[in-house]
Amino acid sequence: VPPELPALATLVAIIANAALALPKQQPGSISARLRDTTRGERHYLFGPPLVMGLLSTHLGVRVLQLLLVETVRGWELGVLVEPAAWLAEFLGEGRRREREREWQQSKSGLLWRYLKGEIGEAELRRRLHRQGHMLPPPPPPTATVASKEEFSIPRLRLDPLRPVGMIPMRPMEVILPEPPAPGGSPRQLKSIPAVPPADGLPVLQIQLLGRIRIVTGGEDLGPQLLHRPVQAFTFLYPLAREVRRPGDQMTRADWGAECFAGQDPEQQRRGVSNRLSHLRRHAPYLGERIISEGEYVSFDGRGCEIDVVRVFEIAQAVKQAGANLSDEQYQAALRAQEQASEEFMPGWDGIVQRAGGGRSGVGEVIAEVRSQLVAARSGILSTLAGVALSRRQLDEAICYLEYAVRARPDRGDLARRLADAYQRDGQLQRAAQLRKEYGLSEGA
Amino acid sequence: MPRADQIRKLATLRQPWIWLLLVVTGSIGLIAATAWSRTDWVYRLATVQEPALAILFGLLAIRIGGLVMRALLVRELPVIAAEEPHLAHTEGALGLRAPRILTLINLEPGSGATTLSFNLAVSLAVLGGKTGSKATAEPIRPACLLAEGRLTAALGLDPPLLNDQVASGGWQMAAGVADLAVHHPSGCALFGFQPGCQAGAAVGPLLAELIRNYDVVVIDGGIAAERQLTSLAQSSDLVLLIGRAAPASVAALQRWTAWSVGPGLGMTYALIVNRLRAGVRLPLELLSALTPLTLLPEEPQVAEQDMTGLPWSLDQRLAASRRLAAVVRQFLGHEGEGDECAA
Repeated sequence: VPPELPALATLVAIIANAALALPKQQPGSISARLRDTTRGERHYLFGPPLVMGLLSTHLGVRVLQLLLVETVRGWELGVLVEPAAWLAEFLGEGRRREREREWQQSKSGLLWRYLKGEIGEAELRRRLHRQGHMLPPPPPPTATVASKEEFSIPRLRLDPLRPVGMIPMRPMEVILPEPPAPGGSPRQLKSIPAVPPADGLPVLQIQLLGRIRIVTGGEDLGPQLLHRPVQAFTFLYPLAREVRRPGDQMTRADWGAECFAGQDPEQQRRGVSNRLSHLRRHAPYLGERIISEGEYVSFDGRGCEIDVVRVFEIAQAVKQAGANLSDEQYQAALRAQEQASEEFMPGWDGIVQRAGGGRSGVGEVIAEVRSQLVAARSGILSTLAGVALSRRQLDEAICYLEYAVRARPDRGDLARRLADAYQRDGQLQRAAQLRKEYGLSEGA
Repeated sequence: MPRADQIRKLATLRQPWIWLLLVVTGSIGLIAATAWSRTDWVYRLATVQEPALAILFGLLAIRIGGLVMRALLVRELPVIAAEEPHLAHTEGALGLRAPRILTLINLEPGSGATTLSFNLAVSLAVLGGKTGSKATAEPIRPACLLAEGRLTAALGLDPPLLNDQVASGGWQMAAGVADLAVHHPSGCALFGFQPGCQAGAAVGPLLAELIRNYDVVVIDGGIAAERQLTSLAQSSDLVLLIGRAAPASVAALQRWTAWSVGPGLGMTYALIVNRLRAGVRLPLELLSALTPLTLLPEEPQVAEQDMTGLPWSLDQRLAASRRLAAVVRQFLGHEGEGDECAA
């Protein structure tokens, strides 16, 4: 053995020890990284292992796999830091999972799940309410204001309404489905029976409450349409008339007079024709819904699922059924009253303004539908209150009646029922106050 | 052979026998290495080097033992696309509480002022009603004014609508502006605005109208043309400068700081460094000009969610979201309350 060999071996061993033991990548930041990793602020001390995949279930093979995967990391971190990194990553993963579980029940998590479509609005409201949070109320519908002006009745001094979440209701299904995945077929909702497709026309699912969505073939045409106010007006105005009165027709002259006031009749007719042809050219799926038969123009509602029409249908069915609601009808009524609280055609005034204006007749159509909605909701709530009273659920009945009276303060009969309900519930002061405001006698 | 779920069951360091096994494995490795180093060949080769060799073998044994432990404690490792940046906790102190008008201005294009404005407003709406573990009855109602772009399209906003209203209304702007809002489920009202148009000059009346209707107004500086930015900044309680770790941001920040020390400009501003990647160092000039309020990492989910109009600030699994929430808590004076989950 050469005499220099031991010394050389010592040198090699010392260098190898240092190379193996010491961290080689940003050693100054390791303690902070370890802290962040343990807290779950980051997944790995540095980067992830180079190969990520399925590990064998056999321990020996798994060790070899890890040896290959972790060699580079082990070299970078050093033998002493590497186990600490593993431990920190393991603890961090646990912390992250724990935090995720908590987040899913937090307000952020619930909203996130709602926006992702994992839970419905009723479920969201119920859970937020349970946690003491409140969703902001929807903007007040214009119809409410109009109807309050119309009905000159004494101003109510009721306590603030309890949130909708307090009304015991099952999760609400949105009437309009989310667009299906590409290639998939549109999801059929339980709450709306299948609408037979019209000849040669695609099925349109139209949401006009809360927001405007027009879904066909899984695509929402609403945003594009609303981006072009003239086209939006040309499509939505006949649609609103159809909703107000099914089968409604208007003459081109009337439409022209509404939209092109101040111009001569020929220009008005030309303007209407231009708008119609413009819509048919740029949005054929929507344009073909506007039927033009000589002088008359109307909306073809065949094969259309329109949420507000559905609400009216439910209101009618509920009214006929009275207190003998089936469970299915009861659920449908709950959903419908919640939908009816949303604004009909939000943003309509802006569309009219940008589309070149319209005279009072245009606004009247919308206001009329909104008033119909208020009446429909009030009717549904009244029936629901009747059902709750027949089941001796006074608390729910009061809740429904309070909403109903708020929606239609002109309805003395509702106020009387609410006062009676207060009385039966032992809220004598409230009952007396309400009777006084409405001039009701106790025995009436 | 153990199944994968059985293996995962082992994945807990709370079991004492795991630690015992680790110690025993390490000790056996060390003893074996020492014994091996005493064999004739090695002994002759390294008579005086025995400690160094023993340490070397010991280190190798620790490595092998560690790998065995790692294999035993195997779990489903989280898959991440790229290395996460190491972000120091450099949160600067904000000498301002509850600003009512916040303007976010890009120091360079693509720094993320629009997405940050939207997410900041959502975060304010979500966290605003909370004080500690108790929820107040009145949540904060923020309004957010966003420059037209992919995000506004994804959110279904109609910027021309507001532009027309603002351009036609001027100081006599009708109270109907608030009706043009798109109400986000989080509770904030969203407005889209076309950048750099003539209506930009009427932003002042618009702000006055919005602040009358909402608790906080968050403005994406992209709505104003370059020449209108300064007046927009002066109308704000707080200007958040959004930059990146790049020379262009440094130059722009230096221009802002030079301008803001001018006479009569009592502007409060702070810096947010956005989209930081691993391995990219923060320019010293950036840090010396202004202590960042926060550093936000680049995360692929953020871009994906912007495309679909989802507010990533709600997704507390993202580091960017947690850091933004910390900033919002600072605005609200809720520092030290920890994240929403912990609260």
